[in-house]
Amino acid sequence: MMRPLLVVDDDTDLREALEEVLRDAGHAVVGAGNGREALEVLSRACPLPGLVLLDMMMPVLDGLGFAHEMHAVPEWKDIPIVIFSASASNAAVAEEVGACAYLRKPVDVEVLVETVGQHFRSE
Amino acid sequence: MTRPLRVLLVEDIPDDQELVERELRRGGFEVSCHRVQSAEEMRAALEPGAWDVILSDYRLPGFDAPAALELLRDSGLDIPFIVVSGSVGEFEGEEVMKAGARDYFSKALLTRLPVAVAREVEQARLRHERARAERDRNLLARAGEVLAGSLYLQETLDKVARLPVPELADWCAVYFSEDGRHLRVASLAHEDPEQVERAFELDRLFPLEPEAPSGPAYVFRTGEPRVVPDVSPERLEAVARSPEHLRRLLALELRSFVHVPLVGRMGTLGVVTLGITGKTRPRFTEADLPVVQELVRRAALTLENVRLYRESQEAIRLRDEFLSVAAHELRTPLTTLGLQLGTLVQRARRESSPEMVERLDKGLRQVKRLGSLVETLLDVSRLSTGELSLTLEGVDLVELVREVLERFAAESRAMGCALRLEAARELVGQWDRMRVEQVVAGLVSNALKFGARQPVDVRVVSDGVVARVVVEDRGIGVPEEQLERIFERFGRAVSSRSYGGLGLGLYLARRGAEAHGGRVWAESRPGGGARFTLELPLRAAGKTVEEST
Repeated sequence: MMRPLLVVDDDTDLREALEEVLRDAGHAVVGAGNGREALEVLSRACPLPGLVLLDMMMPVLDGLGFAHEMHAVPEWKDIPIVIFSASASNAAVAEEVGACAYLRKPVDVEVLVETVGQHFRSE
Repeated sequence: MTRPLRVLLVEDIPDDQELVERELRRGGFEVSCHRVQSAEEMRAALEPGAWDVILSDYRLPGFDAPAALELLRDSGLDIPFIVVSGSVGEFEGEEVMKAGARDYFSKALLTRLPVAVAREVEQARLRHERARAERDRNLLARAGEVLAGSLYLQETLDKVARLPVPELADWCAVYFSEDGRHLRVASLAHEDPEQVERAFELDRLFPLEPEAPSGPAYVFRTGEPRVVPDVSPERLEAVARSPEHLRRLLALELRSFVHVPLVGRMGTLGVVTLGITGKTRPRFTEADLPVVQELVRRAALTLENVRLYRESQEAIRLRDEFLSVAAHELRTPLTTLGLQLGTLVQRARRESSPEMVERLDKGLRQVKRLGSLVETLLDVSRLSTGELSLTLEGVDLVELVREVLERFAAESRAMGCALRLEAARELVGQWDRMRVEQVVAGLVSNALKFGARQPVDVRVVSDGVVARVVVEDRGIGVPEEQLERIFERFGRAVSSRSYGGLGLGLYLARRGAEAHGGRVWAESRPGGGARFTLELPLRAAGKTVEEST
């Protein structure tokens, strides 16, 4: 079964737009409104997502908190993370999150699809 | 009409005191006389401002006029000294005059004494006035220098407290009110740090009561200055709230006060109190008020400026914070809108609907434009706080400029300005791609906007040390006096009514170039229009600063 792509963003309209774009690009997509929800999705997911597209500023559990908890679970720690944030690209944050790419809002459809495709782990 | 005259008489014979007093009264003086007959007694009596004249016998048992003159000289006080002796023959008049006496008389011939005393007292008064005027002038001049350029509250309060010490007073306390009612000591000056400590302690333990019937609180309420020439222990007893309070008040050794309100444009800010402790200067009188008031008036003006500066700094901080938050908040809906339109463009392409593709593309272009406006706002707030990060990498400037020009292809057609590029095959340097793109785009956009439908020429050149991008238009040009101003934040050479824009493009271009160790400048193009040049060192020495997230 095809691995899904997990989109984590607290803005519902934006999350739905992302889901549509990524579905159009051929991905199976699941969404979560914050870090806590995203961890719940991971714990139920089978198969595990091939990539997490992660907003940083979110209520309940933010991007950084989510990344820390995700990396603490051995089965999840190798899932690639692409940061998708309104803040300027920050090497220190990317390193702390263990992200493989940093996309800044707003983003072109093409750039988004290409970056996600590049880092998506299908196996 | 009688004139009061305070005489310090150095004399051992009471009858001779009678004689001198009678003569002076006959001359129109209302005499108060204090007789001393030894060096110790004289030293104890020598107080600033206490005597109008010293009349001295020449020879006393164990003391004489030359010794008295020396004592007076050592005290540093300027009091006219006149020798009144049993017979002038017993000393050399010339000698005492050389030693500093103003005149000499025989007790047998005192009729001229009142005239001489009147003359000397008047001359001493003039000397004192001149010295005081000189002192006040110097003090006020120094106040201007010291207070100029003060921007911070505590720094200014400290300067105000230090100004009158020791020229005018032994003490200066600046009381300041944060709430418009309660006064606290905000700064203190005294030559003895232990006394400063004691006074702060007193203010901490016994803060001024806002409704007090006298003192700084009273002056703060009424806005009227107060001179208290003589601070008697009885007076302190009357204001003390407890024996401990009194003990601490007495420990400050205060003899005389002046309280002057610090009046700003928005009301009374506080009170400045000057105090005298030792016996080295005369007590305050009403005559001291004008200079203290002038000093305090200048202090109040400076404090008013400090307040305005603080408010403007706060307003700038709030603006930058708002810009930063607003830019951040605007990004999310822009992202959603861009993604929705982007998806629709792709679908329209798949469904081969060229008209739909074109219209959606137009929409998408506007979203991108909004995005770059948001970036501009954010850049401005970042630059005003001094942050600008560079990520250096190998960049081909020719390729970068070509890409920027392609992005402007549609706009240049719309503006009727042909964009022409003249460049070598490649020109690689170490730069921040995004920032350089921003600078070039800023210059090109500027040229199209003011290019008056004439061709715009872009050249990329290098001399091996620096690279230059030269953008030349044939448009309305820039007046000579505006060539620098257009690079300022919100600077523009034309009215914002005829030409829109935030007035930030060239400002950001200059800051971007400077971050690379390069520069941007404008000049008039021979034959009309303007020439803008971006110059970048081939290896930018810009340091990378982390941006805040």
